[in-house]
Amino acid sequence: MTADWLTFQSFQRSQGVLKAINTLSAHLKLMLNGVADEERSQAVDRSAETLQAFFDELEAAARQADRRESALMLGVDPRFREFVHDYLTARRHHRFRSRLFTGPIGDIKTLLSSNARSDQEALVECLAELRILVEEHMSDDVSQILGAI
Amino acid sequence: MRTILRESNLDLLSEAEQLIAALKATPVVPELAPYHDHMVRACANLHEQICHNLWDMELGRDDILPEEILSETQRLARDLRLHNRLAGPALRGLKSDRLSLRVIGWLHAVHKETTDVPVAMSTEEFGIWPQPPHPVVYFMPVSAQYSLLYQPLFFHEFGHLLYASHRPEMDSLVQDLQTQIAELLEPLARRNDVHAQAEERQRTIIVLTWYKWAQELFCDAVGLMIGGPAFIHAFSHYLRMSPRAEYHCSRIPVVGTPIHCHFL
Repeated sequence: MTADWLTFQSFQRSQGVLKAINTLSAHLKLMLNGVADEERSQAVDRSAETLQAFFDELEAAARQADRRESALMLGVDPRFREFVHDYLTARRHHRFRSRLFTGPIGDIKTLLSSNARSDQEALVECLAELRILVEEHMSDDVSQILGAI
Repeated sequence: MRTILRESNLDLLSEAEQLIAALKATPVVPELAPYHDHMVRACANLHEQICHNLWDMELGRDDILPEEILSETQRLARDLRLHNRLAGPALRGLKSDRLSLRVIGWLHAVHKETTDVPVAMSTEEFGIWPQPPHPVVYFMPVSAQYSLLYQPLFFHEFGHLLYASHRPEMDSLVQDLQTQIAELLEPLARRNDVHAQAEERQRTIIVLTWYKWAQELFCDAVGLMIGGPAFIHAFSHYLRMSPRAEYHCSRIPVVGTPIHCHFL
């Protein structure tokens, strides 16, 4: 029996999160540049929901890691645990500058629902840096699921 | 860069069209029809997303959205590769799949969470790709598909789908189990030296390993409940010629090892 189920789930989750990041980020950038983007509106709502759920999970797991010794996150699948570990390491090492990596994680959920221009600009920065982290994280899953030449 | 991105998206578009055409031209066995239909729709959806990406470029939005269009192109390329893999079982449509597909179809039909999840069979080592509501692929080696012996192993794989369908509750139960294991392993007294730190790391590895193991044990229990002696028989046949290495876990990399030792 293989443990591919874990890799496949991780791959699909990352793909879904990336799709949501790209859709929402594109929409916000176009709006901020004065371009109406009505054709994406339904997809934008779904993307915000996807990201909201993702940040809920991230916040819960990161809270566990803060509370316990040795980043002992329980009830969290190993691949997502690795992502949370990468995220917390990036925060500790000041790798990124957006509010997702410098402020409380809960802040980004506020940004997701805000219509203020400054919040939307901040959200675009957060999404760009989150995209980097997710793309890095999924490289192992990609080679296992899709293979490599 | 703009030219490369545009060409890449046009290539993706062409490949998606070829995939749709291949799927539509393939005769389908009745057991695969829901999966086949789902794959045609999924490929059409992929095609639409690629068109959207091209549309953004045609409107000159790539000046505003350079990272988004690049990342989307890369994501869609990965998705196309995945769709190619997922289309395999529908395109090859072997008669030998039908027995297994009927067993799996029966399993799915009697559970309300899985009734509408399309399924397919592929030929690799026993396994499953469970991510509801996406279609599910079960894996079984070709040589095993021609007899009833190993069919009950699907009951174990089906457990992974049940786990995924109830993930929040199941993860919460596993969290409780891991908490109890962590408490059991907690020493009565703690030293403050290098050995104590090493022991703590070992305890952490053991506790974290139980996430995977708990799920595998749950799946064993599902298999046993559904298949009873037939499941035990299939399992013992599957494991009986496994070499020593399958049962040996070195202490450090235990987190990433395949799950065999708990069958002992």
